[in-house]
Amino acid sequence: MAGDLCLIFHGHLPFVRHPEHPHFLEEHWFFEALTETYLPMLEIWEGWSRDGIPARVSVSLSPTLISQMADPLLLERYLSYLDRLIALAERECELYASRHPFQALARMYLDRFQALRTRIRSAYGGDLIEPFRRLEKSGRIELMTTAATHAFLPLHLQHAPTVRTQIRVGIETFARFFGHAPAGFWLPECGYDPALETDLAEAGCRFFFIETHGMVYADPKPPNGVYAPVGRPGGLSVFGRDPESSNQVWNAETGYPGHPDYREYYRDLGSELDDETTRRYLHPDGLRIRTGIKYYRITSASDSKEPYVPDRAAARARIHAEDFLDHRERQMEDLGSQTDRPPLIVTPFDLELFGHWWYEGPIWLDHLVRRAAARSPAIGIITPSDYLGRYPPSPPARPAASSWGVRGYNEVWLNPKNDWIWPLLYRGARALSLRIRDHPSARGVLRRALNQALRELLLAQSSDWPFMLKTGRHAEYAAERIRGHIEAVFGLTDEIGAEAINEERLSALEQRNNLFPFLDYRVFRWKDGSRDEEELPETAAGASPKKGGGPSPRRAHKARHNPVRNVPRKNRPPSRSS
Amino acid sequence: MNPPRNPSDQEGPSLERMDRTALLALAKEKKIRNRHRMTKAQLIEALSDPSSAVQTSASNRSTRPAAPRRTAGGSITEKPRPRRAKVPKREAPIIQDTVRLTLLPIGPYWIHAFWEIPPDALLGMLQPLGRAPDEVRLVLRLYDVTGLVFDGANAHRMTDIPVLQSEPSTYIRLRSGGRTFMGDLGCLLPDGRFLRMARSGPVHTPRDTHPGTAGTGVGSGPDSPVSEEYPKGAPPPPGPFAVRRPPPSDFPMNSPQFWRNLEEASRIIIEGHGHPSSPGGRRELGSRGWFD
Repeated sequence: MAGDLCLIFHGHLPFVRHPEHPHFLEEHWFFEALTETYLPMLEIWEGWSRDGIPARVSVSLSPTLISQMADPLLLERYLSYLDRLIALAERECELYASRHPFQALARMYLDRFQALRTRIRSAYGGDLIEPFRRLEKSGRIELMTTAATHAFLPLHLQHAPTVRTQIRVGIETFARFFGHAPAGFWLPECGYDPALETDLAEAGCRFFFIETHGMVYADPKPPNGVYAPVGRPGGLSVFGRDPESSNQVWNAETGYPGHPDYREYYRDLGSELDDETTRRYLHPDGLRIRTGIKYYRITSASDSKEPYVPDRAAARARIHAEDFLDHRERQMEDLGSQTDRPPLIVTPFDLELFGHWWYEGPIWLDHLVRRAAARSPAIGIITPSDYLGRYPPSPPARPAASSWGVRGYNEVWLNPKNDWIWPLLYRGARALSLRIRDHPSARGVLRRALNQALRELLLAQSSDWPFMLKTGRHAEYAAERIRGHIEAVFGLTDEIGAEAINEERLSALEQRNNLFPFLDYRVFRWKDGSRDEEELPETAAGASPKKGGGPSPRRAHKARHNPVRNVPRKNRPPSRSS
Repeated sequence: MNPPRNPSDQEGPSLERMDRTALLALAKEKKIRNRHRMTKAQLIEALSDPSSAVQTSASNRSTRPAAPRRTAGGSITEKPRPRRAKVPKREAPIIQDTVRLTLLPIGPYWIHAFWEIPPDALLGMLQPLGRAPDEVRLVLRLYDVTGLVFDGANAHRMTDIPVLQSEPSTYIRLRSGGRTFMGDLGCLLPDGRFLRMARSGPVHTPRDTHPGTAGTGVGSGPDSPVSEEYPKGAPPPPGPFAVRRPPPSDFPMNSPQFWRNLEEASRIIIEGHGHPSSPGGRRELGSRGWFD
């Protein structure tokens, strides 16, 4: 065998659930992803299982995504969304004459939406987790997970309980839904620092993945480069990303998804409907949302677009799959004599690339996997666990801190556009640590309040918010989410400190942010038992407040109740009006 | 509580001359807990600490070693005998003062620092010394402690970065990657003494090349860390890559092209020309563009 290919699909969306609003715009991220990515990809994987294709791919599902998939309210809303899309597609079918090129496309979308609805209700019985369980059982996919709310871990290392909790709660969430702990752990954004490994190993992880340069600059140099995992203490193995195969798909200029035959992502019917139709089919407030009904192909870089031709696009996807395999074959041939074992090519993708951004991505993947086994010599498509069962890792080496963010480190998640969040996140973590120190074995309402405070803190730590602030897309929503969660943390910790918990407010928070129902706040304790070092941030240094060195009780109280306002102006989040 | 004092100028020499019994008596007077478990060096360190009265355990004191001795001009005149106080463990709490300093790494050449100084904290610290806030300079003292068991005085390099209480964060530009830093936030008195208010945990900046490779960072960045505005969309410092040498050795089975390819891929990622898949980069096709 020339070598093996390890395809990894990382699925993640931030937790967006707003029961307080019947039509919440940002919930559509999840609905679109279900329609265009998760359900179509399940169909592809189920096809391999049905046809006995001897391939195994790795699928990482983030705990926030799992929680949304399992949420009855979101599923109910999704089905209602799907009904509206079906009605819209029916209208489109009636709108165009039979010879109009859009008529066949409208029919294609209508069939597709109806099939999805049937599949969820009949085949899956309204349970979106079950098909993943079945696929794992059949051996076609190996599931793994990531940090609880996809926090960018290298930037949380200055508060050890945060890192440990993100890892452990992530793994526990996965285990509760799938009945076992995952062997692999996807580091959010491939954000790696050697200091994370202790917690990963203690949580029972066996392997994780890093960006190319993290492995290339490892100490000592790994003899096989990124083409074999290296061993780490605690029984961990680390896999490095292959730059060549990733580039063939991901490259914005030359990557496959930019081919003129493929469906144009940006021309969505949702932006072309009149106001009345939008209100009727998409959003009662007339907000323009994407429908997934797109009639054009990329055609060229200009704005002039031609109608989409599904057969032509599918044929192109198959050509691209063959091209990808040809390149891997040559790459493996070149590498074969330079590594001490058959090379392993690790190619990770964001799952949402397939179907959502690259509409034909699932067809490409399906063809690639089905053809790989037929090649001579065959290209094995295996999981990291399969590989570690065959070969030991390369000799131990210490990889370099790295991420797959632009410029390779932490800049995307910490820069002048989002740096204001970090003092808030650290302050919230410390305030909660203090309360946990005071209440090591709480019960009843107090326990609920501590658990919810931790839940809110974890939600504030999601890597999605600083990313959105950096790019400016949905920045206001991201700022609002961080502000809301941190205010909840400070509100709850204050109430706990004052022994005056507002149960009504607590219940409302529990109802809205209901993920991790098993959460036990004690996971957030300092590990070595020296938790008594935590102090309230509002107390003055080196002087007792009673002697006048600290803030007045009134000021301290005000500060605690206005955690965001108390942050100096430069570090405040943008206001809603901005 | 006793007024904070500069340890090296006021208490250091006399404490060194005292025996352990005398130090224990002094520690008892200052209500330092766990004093009987401490060595002489630890006792001196605990007693030297301006906030020694609020210390609670021996392990904490390891996070608060004494500041280096300095002249009024600010340069190090004498390197004290290293005390083997350990760098704080990851699990050791880094929070013991209410003034807090946090360092976070951005990449090989940048650190972000932010701090919290509660209202009146500065005043409360300076009043017993008969000083007013406008008489002192707020300073972030950055120590390069790469590969060291930092004892508060044995840093490879120490740089004072003036900061403002009203702007509680800054970006610090560094010369090269793969280093470890710790920071103190404190006041520089007119006579050159430094009053530490908070110490950060250690922060490790990522390596930007192979360990031991000649030429790392040469010709790039300032000689000392400096506070700088973080560039908006500009490329990172170009210097280090221009002088990068080939890796020191390769494995027999690797062709020269093997590592050249991987090095080139790494360089493209780090120099920010855009690994096309990088979140935050140019992502016409990018997956994280979900939020557009």
